[in-house]
Amino acid sequence: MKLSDLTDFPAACARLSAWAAEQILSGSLPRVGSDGSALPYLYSASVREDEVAVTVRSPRLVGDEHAHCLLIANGHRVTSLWGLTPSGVKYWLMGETVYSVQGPSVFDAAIDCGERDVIPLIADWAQRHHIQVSPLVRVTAEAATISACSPPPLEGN
Amino acid sequence: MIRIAINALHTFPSACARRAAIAASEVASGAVPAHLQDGIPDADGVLVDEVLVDHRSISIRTVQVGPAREPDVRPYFWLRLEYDDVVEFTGQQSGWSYSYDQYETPQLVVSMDDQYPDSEPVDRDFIRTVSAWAQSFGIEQSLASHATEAGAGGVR
Repeated sequence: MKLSDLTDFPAACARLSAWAAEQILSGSLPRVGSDGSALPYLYSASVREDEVAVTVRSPRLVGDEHAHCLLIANGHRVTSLWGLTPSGVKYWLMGETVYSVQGPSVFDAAIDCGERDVIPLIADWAQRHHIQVSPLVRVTAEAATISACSPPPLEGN
Repeated sequence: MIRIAINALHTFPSACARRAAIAASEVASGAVPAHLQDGIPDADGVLVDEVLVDHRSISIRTVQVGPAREPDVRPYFWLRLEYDDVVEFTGQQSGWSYSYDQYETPQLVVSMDDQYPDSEPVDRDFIRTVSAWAQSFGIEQSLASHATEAGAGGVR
């Protein structure tokens, strides 16, 4: 997977981490630290020869930890990706396959359907970029379209 | 507790430390030090080996490389900055190891590098120069460093 594949990844932390890694590879270091807003921010960056490691953190809490993304790239190739979305969805890269699981907060009634759609969006994203997804992502994506975000059934009739 | 500004390292008796000080300024201005992308040069030179930036500190490692230098003989320097102050550094140079940690031991500690190969000449002047550097910035030196300095005349 290339860094450029992540420009439309359905998690803001991952998009920001890929952008930051591209910037570092081009010789400029993005600002590290929060600006006090609710937006994700670059938490740490390291560079060693061709390897860039970037951590992005969101101010939003998921249980007792912050939504985040850790990305390691060798040149423009992503060698490791790990993240947690604000809606409690975990995603990671292993080899050339993207894996994902839903955390318990996905089933929290306070989380709206838009956030429940992260896994189907990951499946769509992977298809666009010809990247493999784990069977669980595929099955979860299919299940989500059937139940999680469907409008409530109409009564009567 | 004294503050060590990054500028103090511009006169430290090690090319690696001086390169690290320059790299710190580059990082502070938003640039990635150039050597990182160049790989190990063929000729002698100081390479910025690693840069790590997080929300409160910057750490930089530099190493002196060259075709004749084996990895275990390469002088290096590593430093950590917090809000523009040098809070920690460590390095090796010409048969010597040195370190400073503002939180753990706010003293310059210099000792002979046990791993340094017998085939390489030890720079006897280094410890005296580094001692003078520490004195000029009001940095205390450990007793072991004083003893090492006193005995440096007879070193290998």
